[in-house]
Amino acid sequence: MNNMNDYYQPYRRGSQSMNPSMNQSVNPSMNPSMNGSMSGSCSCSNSADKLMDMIDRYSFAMDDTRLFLDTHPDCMEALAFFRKMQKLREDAIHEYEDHYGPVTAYRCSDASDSWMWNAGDLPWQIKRCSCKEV
Amino acid sequence: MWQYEKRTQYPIKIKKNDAKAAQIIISQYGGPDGEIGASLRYLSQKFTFKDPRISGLLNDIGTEELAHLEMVGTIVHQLTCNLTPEEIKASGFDKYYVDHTLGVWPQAAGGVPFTATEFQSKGDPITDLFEDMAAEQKARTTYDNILRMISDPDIVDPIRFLRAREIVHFQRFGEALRMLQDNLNFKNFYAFNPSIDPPMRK
Repeated sequence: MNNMNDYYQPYRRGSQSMNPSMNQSVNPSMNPSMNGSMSGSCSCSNSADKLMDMIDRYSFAMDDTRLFLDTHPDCMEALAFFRKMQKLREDAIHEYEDHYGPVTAYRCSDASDSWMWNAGDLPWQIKRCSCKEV
Repeated sequence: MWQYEKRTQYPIKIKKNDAKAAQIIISQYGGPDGEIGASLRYLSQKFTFKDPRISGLLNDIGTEELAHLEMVGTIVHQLTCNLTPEEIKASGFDKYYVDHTLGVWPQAAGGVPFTATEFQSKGDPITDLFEDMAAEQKARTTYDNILRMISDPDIVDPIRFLRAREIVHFQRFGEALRMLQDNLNFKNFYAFNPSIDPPMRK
């Protein structure tokens, strides 16, 4: 999971100055290094938030690689990376949906007897986290 | 078709209201180089591209722009959702507030409503791709301008994400233009419309 940090490198929380080397660092790297901390996430131990953070990371890796593959359809390395992220994303979404509620519109988990699609906070709302920080 | 996912593309957790920042950032919701114009531009242009690879790229980038529209709307909402009447008056947000209350409405920072005249769908792939590349640069410049005026890390963080995506999209559109031109007569790139005129493969 740490290797996703490369994708967030140019806009990691806390590094406020504009980075002149951004042009290079936003290109998809197929060999991401392991460094840095989680970005954009609450520092509390809320496991729903942490899992959603991972879903965001895997999904973004796929969003970025999808566009790369659109113009580099023969890049086997990128294709393998896309499939790897796809598996991780699916597992994370299933785990989230089984414990905390729906993420995708075409899957209703067996974990609840009621309609949960519009239950709880919506993505644009300020999250009421259980930690004291927020 | 599209399906919704219950998450923003990049997390947005703004703790402090800032109506002045919201009035600037709303330009990327409905301004001349904003995200609604970007998504409508690509999702409208895609129909007349003959090359499915490029048509598909326009669809994928247009789709991502819809997620960016939601992100900018989320930023504006989280910056304004708990404003007091005093804060609204002091920040100059009152002129927006009188018409839209705390609703998010597509307008430029100067109050000009979103209009489809801010983009083209010309039906000519070369023409459209040049516009798309320029559009990504204009949006990047706007995000740069926003970053010069904002210091709250909760706002800066997602804005920097959005800025970086403009650069990636510019790169991909440039590659798409090259793919398109690779299939044309290199002596005559610009004199005809590859969607309508007979192919001039060299």
